[in-house]
Amino acid sequence: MSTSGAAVSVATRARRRGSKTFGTAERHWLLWPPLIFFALLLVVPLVALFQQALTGQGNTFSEAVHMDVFAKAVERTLILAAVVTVVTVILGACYALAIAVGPVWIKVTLMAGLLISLWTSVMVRTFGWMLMELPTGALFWALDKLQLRSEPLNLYQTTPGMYPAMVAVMLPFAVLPVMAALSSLDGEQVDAATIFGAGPLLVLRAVVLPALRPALVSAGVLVFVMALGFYVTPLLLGGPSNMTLSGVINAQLNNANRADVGAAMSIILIGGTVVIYLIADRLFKVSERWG
Amino acid sequence: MTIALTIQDVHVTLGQSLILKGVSLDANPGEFVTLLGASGSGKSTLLNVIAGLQGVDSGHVLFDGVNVEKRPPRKRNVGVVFQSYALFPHMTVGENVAFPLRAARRGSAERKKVAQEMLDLVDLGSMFDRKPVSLSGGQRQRVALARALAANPGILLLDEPMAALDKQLRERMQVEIKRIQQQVGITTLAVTHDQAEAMTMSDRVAIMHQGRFVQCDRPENLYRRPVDAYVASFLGEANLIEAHGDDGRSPVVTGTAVVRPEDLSLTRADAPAGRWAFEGPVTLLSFQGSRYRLELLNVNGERIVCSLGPHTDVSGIVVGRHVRVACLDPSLVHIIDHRSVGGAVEQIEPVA
Repeated sequence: MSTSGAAVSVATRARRRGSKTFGTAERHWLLWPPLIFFALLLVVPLVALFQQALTGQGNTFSEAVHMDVFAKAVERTLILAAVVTVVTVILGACYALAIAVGPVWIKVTLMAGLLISLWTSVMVRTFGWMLMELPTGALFWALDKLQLRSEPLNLYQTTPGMYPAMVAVMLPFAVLPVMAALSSLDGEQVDAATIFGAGPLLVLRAVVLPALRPALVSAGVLVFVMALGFYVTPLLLGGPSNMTLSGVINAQLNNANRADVGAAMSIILIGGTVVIYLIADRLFKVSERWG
Repeated sequence: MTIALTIQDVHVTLGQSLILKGVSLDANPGEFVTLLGASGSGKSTLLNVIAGLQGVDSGHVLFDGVNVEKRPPRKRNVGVVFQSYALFPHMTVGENVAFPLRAARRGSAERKKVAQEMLDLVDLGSMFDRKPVSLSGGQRQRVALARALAANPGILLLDEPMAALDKQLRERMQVEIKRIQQQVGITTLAVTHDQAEAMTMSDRVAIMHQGRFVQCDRPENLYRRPVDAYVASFLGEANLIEAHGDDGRSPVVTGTAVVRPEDLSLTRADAPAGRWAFEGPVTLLSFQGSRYRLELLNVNGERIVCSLGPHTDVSGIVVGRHVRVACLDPSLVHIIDHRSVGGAVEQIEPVA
């Protein structure tokens, strides 16, 4: 008797609470479209990729890992992603700080630069860098005019050639989180530090940077993960002899005609990215900040 | 280290609007002065001017007779308790309190010692290694106070210090802050819109209205002898009655009489009508614990509010019935002479 009474009261309470917005069933329905979308666009291709990797002759995973090109590409990609992440986050933080505290003309210029680079396709921006880095391109022209260099540049299609372009392409993704964190920074805390005698450096070190730390970490993770799989910019500026992972995968699929090995490499890349993300999450609690 | 503060004819414009229109004040060393006013009266701006966060258009700010308008905030040696406390969330309580010493590049042993002393002063000695997040509102406020006092500042500024606390805690902290202020003996300037808070804590209260000081005096004098109707009705409740002619004894006065509700008491209907007697139908009677509140409509149509002692015999008093109330001691009635009003306030709001 008493149990059924309790069950009834729980049921009524649930109904009452549910009726405020949506019933349980309706709430579940809202979940379906994104779930289907997720399944179709992410899980299905992954399964197909696995299948592809397993249909090959022998163990494609071990074959991929033992390929010299692949090992070199992994090393190159990791170093590229790490360096680009550090440089981009530092530059991005400076950029966002300049927008926050600079005079109006700096604010306007930097915001315009940020938005224009966000609205412009990566392809176009990479072509821009190509034109600059070509042996007798824009950079050479400028250096020549300044009489700093007379022989053509050897930058295009080299590993160092990828770095500045990668940083430029990634910069908005580092600036935006830091800008958001800066706009929610408590102005009274900055005032407090100033009144209690702190100079600009101590204010930055003791108040601003600690408040920005979560944003810097999430910006770093975002840039690093994106850089790991980046395709267009490294391919165009690094050239065929300095391929990053995505370039090597593409070569397997389209040139070497080894779709199975390409698929295995893709899975290793995805798995590695997930592992790195999980480690970062463990260390910095990134997901809590992204909700 | 405590200093005398002098403010001379300070004008401040923010954007298009004139926020401070010539404010002057002298605070003696160790004095507790509160700026009391409604929001937008300019009191917080004045606090920022003293702290150096806000520049002045004209006028002077002097610490112990030395001009400081050009001195940046970090060189003024003021202690501030912010409205939101502005504690640094990633530092421990001890590191927060020691921050002014860290900024002054003192050694870590000294920092620790002073921070511990300050925390003991505000009764939070055991909280040294806690993070601010884990403290209650009242504890955070005391940490903010300890930090404000850590570098031995010349003057302490409190910006709406009680705004974030609930009512009971607020009353406790008012007494607590006053105790600490007296113990340290530091010149203190507080800002508030709460008149009870201002009267409880301060040696003097400056009432601000539209960017000017209307009156600056000891709390008793403000309450008993307000210079105008704004002060009279801002500080406690007041019946403001237009007074004309004379009562046969005192000389002719024309002005506004301030009759405090608690100075009125019930009198018999057949008692001789004095000058400060009011008669009319009761419009409200309510018991408020320590007092009765009685409202009646005077023959002139004025609403008269009385505050009666809790042991008053109110049997038989119902809404609509005629009663008579009177102020039996005419010396308690303060008359604002109209001739002396008008300089300080541009416009006196009519009081119902």
